[in-house]
Amino acid sequence: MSDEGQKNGNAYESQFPTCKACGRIIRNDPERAPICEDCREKFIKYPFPKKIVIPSVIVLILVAVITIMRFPQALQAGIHYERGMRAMKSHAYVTAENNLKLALAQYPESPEILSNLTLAYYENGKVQDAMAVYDKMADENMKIEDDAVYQRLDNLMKEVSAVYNIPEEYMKEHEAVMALPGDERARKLRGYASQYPESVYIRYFLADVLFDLKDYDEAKLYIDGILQMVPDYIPARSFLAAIYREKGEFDKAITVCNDLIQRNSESVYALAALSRIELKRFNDAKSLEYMERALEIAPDDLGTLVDLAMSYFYNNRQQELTATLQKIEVHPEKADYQDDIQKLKDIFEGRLQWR
Amino acid sequence: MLYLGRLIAWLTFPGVIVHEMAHQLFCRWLKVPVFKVCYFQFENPPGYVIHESPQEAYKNLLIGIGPFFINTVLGGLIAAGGAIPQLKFHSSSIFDFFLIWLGISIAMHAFPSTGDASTIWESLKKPNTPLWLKIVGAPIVLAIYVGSFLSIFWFDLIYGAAVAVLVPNLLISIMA
Repeated sequence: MSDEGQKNGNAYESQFPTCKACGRIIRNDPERAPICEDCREKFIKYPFPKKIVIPSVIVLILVAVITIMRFPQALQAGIHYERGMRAMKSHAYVTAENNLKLALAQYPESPEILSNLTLAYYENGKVQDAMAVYDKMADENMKIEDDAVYQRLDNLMKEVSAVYNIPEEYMKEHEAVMALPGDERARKLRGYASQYPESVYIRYFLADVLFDLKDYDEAKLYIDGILQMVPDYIPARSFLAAIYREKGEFDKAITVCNDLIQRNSESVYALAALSRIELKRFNDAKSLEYMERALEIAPDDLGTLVDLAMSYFYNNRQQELTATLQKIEVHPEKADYQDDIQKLKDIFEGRLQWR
Repeated sequence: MLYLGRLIAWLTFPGVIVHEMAHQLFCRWLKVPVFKVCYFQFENPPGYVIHESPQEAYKNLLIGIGPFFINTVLGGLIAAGGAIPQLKFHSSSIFDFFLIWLGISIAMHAFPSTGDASTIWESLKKPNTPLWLKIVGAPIVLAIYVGSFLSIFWFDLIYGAAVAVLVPNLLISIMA
């Protein structure tokens, strides 16, 4: 509140008006307070009292110290979180994942970051990472306030439960089934699939075996069944695209891939699938375009590097192929991709006629 | 209600002090003599500045609305340091709560008082006040009275909280 406290002029006026502060004779000016110029200057610089200034400065220093220590990291985390959330909204899940991971480094206990990171991981096909983050939230009883995120996580968990609900009886036999030759393995798995028709895992595994046996129609039957149970299951959709590709139904395969890209505009697996479709129909340059896009999105993803190497091979880009193979050789996740790397070698050395 | 209002003023006393300091600062910048300042008291009004009534109406206007800018900016910046971790990531650090309390306390005292409004109004009514200033000043006076009326419904507190939330969100939106 500010007040016009001094009534100007008349009350103090005598024959010779004087300064109300020092008593000096002043010139009469009814528009201004009756003070001399020296006192005016003094009152203009009315001091801030020490009892106010000193605590204020202490508080400001305290605030400045706290702010300098905490604000830059909070702002950085906030910016990464915002970028992550914008990317989530535009279905750019790799960008979302990268930014949310950076925000999480500053605030590892934030349910907002963890819940969205779970979704981003899952959309990028990183189921194990998604589950690790989800388990952390569950272990610490974190509350998710955003209803839409909560609903998506709930759906995700239902999907994961459906996919990874492996019958105990089969689990005991898994190693033995794995050791069987292809035809025998398929026969055994058909038995389990009819015994446990709701098991997505068995159906998916069987479809995979049938795919290797080039029985694409039966493989599609099982994948269609899975998609009826869990319509949004990304690996099954990618698998469907591969089946269409091998059957020569390229348009259908491309439609499936485009659906995946609509769901995740940075879907490197969809881009890799498109690349393989183009290779299969001898559009090698187009295939490389897709893989270069995938490489821009996920330059360190081993799966991307493997498909890129294949594309370089068919495009006769020997120099780039050698560099990519060197990257694959030293990649920390190499052990997880042994089958794909072996398949690649078989193609390069002519042991496998892929197209 | 009156006691609650006083309690809020006490709990948010840093805002009252900043408000009065802002008036005083504007007086100094505009070369208007100040005769007395009360930075905070346990009475109504909780603070005031007694200064000369400047001849130029624009000075009265700026002195009156000065705290609006200073309290808003200062409150927003201080609160931002705590509001981002608290609001975005549910951090429960005591430092964050301290910054939010201080920021909201300062921002919620941004609104000029009805006393400020009446001083501005008196200067706007003077015949030598330029027309453009009357056009600019009148809605400001009206806004101050409306704000004062709405403070019955805790508008000042809502404003303080909004500043504490909006400034960091705005910062992040611009920089992201």
